[in-house]
Amino acid sequence: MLLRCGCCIIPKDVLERLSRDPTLPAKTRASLESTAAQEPIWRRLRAAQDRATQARLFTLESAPTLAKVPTVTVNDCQNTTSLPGTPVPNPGSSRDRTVKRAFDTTTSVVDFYKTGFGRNSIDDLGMTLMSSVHYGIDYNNAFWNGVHMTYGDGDGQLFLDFTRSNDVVAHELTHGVTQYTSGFVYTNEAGGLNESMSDVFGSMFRQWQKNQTFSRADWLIGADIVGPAARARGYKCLRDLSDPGGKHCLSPQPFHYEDYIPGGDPHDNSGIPNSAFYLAAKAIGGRSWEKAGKVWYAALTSKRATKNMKFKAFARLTRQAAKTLFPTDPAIYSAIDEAWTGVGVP
Amino acid sequence: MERFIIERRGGIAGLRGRGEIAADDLDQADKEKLNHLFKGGRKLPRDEGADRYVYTVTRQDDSGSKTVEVPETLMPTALTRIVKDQF
Repeated sequence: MLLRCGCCIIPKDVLERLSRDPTLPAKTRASLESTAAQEPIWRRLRAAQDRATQARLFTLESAPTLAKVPTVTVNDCQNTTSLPGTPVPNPGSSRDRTVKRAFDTTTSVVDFYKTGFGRNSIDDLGMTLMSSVHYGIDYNNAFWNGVHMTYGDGDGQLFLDFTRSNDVVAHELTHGVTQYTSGFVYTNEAGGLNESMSDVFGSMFRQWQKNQTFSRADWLIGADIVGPAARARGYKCLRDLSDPGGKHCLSPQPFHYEDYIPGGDPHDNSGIPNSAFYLAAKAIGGRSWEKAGKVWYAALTSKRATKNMKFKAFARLTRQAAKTLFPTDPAIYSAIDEAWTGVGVP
Repeated sequence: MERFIIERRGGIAGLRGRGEIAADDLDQADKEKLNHLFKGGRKLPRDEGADRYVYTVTRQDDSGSKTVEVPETLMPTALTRIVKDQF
């Protein structure tokens, strides 16, 4: 895979090994060393990959489907940082709980997107879904690397195994959906939208698995991975869509546009669109994925969604989607319109 | 005395982290990797995807300090492990 490591077209370890080869001229070795860190070609390749991914939006009708039901695979990094790790045979039957959780939850997220939104995997063409588990040692994080999901085990104090929270799994997978649809870049307001899509669909998945209505949902992100050291200090979650600024959140966020943080981390500014979704779902009631979720999905996957989109433009897309999807129910539009107005995005 | 201050941001939790280490406490390979990251003067491209960590490494010595932003995949693992989460 061209950009498997996310860095160089030639694996970084190969470049580094060659840079230490005494049989090569000093000048060559210096060049290899520099390439490992700063070769611009792979940056152009990455940009080309992004453009190719986005271009597919306009050719989807003619693209063949890989699978009607996507294959879900799990790899074990065995506490190294080598990706994607070693393939685990029959992960759904694994005695390793982390492997089995990654498989089962990812399979369920596939079903969520299919039944809730008619989407066939990340690329809507049945793309094989890969997850890598046991990444690093005591690794307190999970991420999407542009190709697959990766989960750390946590240190057992601040965080537990990251596969334990179903919304975290859906959060990471949704980064893939965003990459293959709107392509929101990971900076500025678009970055906040990118992160918000993952929290919003992550939370919806959590509610969908339990068939919860708005009022029964916890609206928390990462509630099941908070470790004892964090709980002892009163933390219950990473983020809370119902109370983004809450002290029980490890990462309290702004929830009104007047508090937008210029140049802020996407996980900070996502609080504003997160809050808009929560308020819309609250006003509409019922199951969040049935109406508010459908509107958000329509906006995310709209051909008018652009990679550097600002909150205001995304809000406009949701308002338009509300009218298009629910033309005989003006209350849906009103709920979404007022939600955005409520967070300072007219 | 040369030392490195390592700060981290990003990740799914959005938590910051910090650590410091004297250059003399690093093994030679890690010291060379770190010093190489300060060469070139070009901004290092960020990792692909989302929820990745981003590190800011500051080198302090008698001549002053210099800071470079480093994507997670280019950070020596031994150095990432000295970073403590701040919460």
